[in-house]
Amino acid sequence: MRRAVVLLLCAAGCVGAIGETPPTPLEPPPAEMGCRPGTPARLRRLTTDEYASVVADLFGAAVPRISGFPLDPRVNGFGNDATALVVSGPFLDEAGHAAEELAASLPIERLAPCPAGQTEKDCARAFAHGFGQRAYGRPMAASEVERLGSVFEAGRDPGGYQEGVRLMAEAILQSPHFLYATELGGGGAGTTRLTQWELASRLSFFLTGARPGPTLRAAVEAGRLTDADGIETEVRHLLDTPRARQHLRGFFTAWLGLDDLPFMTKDGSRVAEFTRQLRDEMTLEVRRYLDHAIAAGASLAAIFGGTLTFPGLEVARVVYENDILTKPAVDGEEVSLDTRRRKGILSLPGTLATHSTVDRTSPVDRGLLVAVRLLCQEIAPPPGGLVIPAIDTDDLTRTTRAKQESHAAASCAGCHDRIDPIGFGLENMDTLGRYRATENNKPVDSSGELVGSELDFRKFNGPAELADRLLASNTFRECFVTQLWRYAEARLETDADACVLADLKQSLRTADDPLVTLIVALTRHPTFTSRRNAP
Amino acid sequence: MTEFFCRRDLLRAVGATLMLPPFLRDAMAAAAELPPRLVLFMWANGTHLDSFWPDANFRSFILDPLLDDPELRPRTTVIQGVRLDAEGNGNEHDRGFHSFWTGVTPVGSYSDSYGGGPSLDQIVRARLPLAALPYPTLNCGVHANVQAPKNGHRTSFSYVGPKQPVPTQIDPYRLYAALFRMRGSGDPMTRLRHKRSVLDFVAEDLRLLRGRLGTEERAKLEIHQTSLRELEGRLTASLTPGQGTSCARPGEPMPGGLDLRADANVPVLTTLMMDLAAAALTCNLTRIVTFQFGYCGNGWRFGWIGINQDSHGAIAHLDLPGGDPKIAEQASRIGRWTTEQVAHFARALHAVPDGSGTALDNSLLVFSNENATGYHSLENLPIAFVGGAGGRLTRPGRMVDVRHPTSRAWGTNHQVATTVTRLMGLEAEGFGNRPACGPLQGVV
Repeated sequence: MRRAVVLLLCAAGCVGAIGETPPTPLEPPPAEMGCRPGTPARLRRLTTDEYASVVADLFGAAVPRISGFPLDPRVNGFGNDATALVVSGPFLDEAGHAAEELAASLPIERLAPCPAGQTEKDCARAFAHGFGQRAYGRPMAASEVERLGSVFEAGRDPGGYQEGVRLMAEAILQSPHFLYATELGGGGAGTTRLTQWELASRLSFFLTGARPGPTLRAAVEAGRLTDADGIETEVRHLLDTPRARQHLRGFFTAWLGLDDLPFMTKDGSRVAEFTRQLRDEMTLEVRRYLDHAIAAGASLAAIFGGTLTFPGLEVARVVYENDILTKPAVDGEEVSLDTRRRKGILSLPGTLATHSTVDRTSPVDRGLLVAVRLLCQEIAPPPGGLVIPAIDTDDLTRTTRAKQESHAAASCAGCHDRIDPIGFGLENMDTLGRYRATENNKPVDSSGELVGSELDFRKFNGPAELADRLLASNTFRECFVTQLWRYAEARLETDADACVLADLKQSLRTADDPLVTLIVALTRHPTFTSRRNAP
Repeated sequence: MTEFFCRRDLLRAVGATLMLPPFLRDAMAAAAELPPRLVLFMWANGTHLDSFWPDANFRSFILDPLLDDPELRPRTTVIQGVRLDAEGNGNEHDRGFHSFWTGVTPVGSYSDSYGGGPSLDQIVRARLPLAALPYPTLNCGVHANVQAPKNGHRTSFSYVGPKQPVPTQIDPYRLYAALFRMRGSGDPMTRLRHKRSVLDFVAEDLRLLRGRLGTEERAKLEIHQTSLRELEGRLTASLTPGQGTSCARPGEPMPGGLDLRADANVPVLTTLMMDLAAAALTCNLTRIVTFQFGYCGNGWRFGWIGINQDSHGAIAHLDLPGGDPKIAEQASRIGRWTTEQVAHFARALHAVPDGSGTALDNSLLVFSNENATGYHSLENLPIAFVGGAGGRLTRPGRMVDVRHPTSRAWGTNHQVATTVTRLMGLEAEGFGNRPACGPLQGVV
């Protein structure tokens, strides 16, 4: 059987800016001007994950799991892009069905009791205020409750009080104020400041993937989100919760392209050791590794240079072999990596195996992960009219690297010289992420080179040295800042955002700085709390 | 599968001709005034063109499932000589997906590029009087989003706006439920009144929000409003009492546990989705369908026709001019299998009387691929029209070379879209960023 690979070929230049505009050097603005917000006053539709979290918070664990919603588009790996998330027909269908089912599950006697002496209308109004506030993450406007009154009247004819209340809940659960996070501020010309409730919601979705919980709500009610110090206090508090730590894990797996790992397959005829159990253990190991690194402060050094991991027994046996200093006695036990070979998230079997094909390593896929996601380089896909050479996996006389190198024709080299040398440096880890000294009975050459910016021609060999090079790199650190900003702002940057990005890059000075430093700088920044009123 | 899905509904359905729920009757009553049905099939990774283009006898290995069928042969028009006229970010897979049916420059980055505007299915939908239909458009496919985390921009070729793909339904259970499940209980008129009060509330929320947003953000709100109007139309149609009529509706999809991501399930998923989409069309639940065979660049292994290799990396990319005949043969069989699926779909429409002909006569099926060849050429895309487009496609049963007779200039995807728009009974001088390109030469 033969295999082919698309060798990325570059007619014109290879590197550009992400987004629709050409690159602009990031010059810090004159200090007196400050940065203007680039994000317009907008609605950001909740991702299906956020929707599920919000529903779970509202209804508790007893509700049916939310499923069947169409998948959210992924932009740059992140599923929260505010432009791409729209209420399409299929989404609205599911939201409508879910609203009906959820409303039907409401324990009205408990949630909307109507004791003697009160009118049903008053009880319904009280429910609308309470449930609406929790659903929207802000107090209800009197006019909204008023309009819900009409829904209540429709519902209780002929179903009575309970049906009227249920129908109000159904309406609330389909309102744009529920399906979107609003970032509108107070309106007016130019720049507008988000309301405290909107700011709380923004912080909460960013850091926990859900609407504000009791503590954050209390902070708003006490007026503590009006200045940067107040915000910082709440951010530090939020980041201290299990929920935020779990949510941060989602940022890292999306960024590093690991969300495919739970569904990874391999060609059983060539990778006989691959089993679903092995894959599931790899998934769990990545999770445990990230949880540990996040608990330790989530510095770049902790994520990319960690020396402890928590493998399952099969992963330890099949993949790690001698790359861990002790064997785990039980699934998920902490073990030390042999740091001559492995260090950090990029060296975990799950990462290496996801960024491989079904039957061999992919220096291109691994190279692109580093170049595009970790160093923020833009690499063009291959243009038209090219004849694409193949990588023949049936050729058992050469290594993957040798095959790949011989195919990087001069016309392809413009791009591939930026990609392949990185991937080559990981060639000592096979398609399961298992160490190998030989491939097809030939010695493996895993000398690699990082190309781009100040990393030019930084040589490395294997994942452990790659981690060291990255952690010493300003480009990598700055790219991390950009990626976190994209995720926080739910969009790609434009020229207008150079100012804030320059500010934030100043705030994360070393790979040992805890992530909280950057998150605090980001959330304190005036562009985080303001929106631009677009025409 | 899904917890909200009620298995009983599937079990209750038997795969025969049934008394229809009343909403179908209403939809059918309106069918007389409706334009032709439109189906855009998109398959991926190019094909072996030598096996695609018909010979002098109007036969070809890949297209014979259509051309060997005495009923489908005279209803098939093969279009030769179209080049994808697309620029901007993305490679050829991406361009086929983001530009073929949008006709505009994509948005997004090099490696993550999206359609830059609405696609033909959505544009035509907005221009046609389809509001009475439960689903003016239906976007479905098989394995369309299996690689969503890595290839988010390849999960749909239908767009409502820039970087706003319409999600592709890949779950036959879900699709069956949406099309044929009667929701709710109790008095339909009461239910309708209740739902309307909810939708009115939501519509008013949207209206109030509109004034607080800039132009671009308003566009997003308008998408929401369109979705809401359609939902209301669906409710009204489904809950308005009427007399029953009959319409062939498909049997239940196979009971649970069908892995929607498994390669081996591609054939069964294809059949299920196609039967549901065909039923939705013939029952006039919808009028416009997009159908996506995998995401562009998918590596279906085609074990079900004895190939069992990565069809993208190990076949399409190796199918070079003058290359290995075995690869060419495999690429051709993949094309033929895909045509068989389209022929199956066409026969399902052809089996249903519609006006003076069949549903297929009043339909336009556009069968095309995002690439021309496996090695990423976008020249001479394999395209076939199937159906009579309501009599507007006057001389089917032939191949048309749409290149300029003397200059041999290529036809373009913009001209394909312009032609399709006209076949749908709408005026069009051009499409996308080629507003004056005109239609394909010699097709109509």
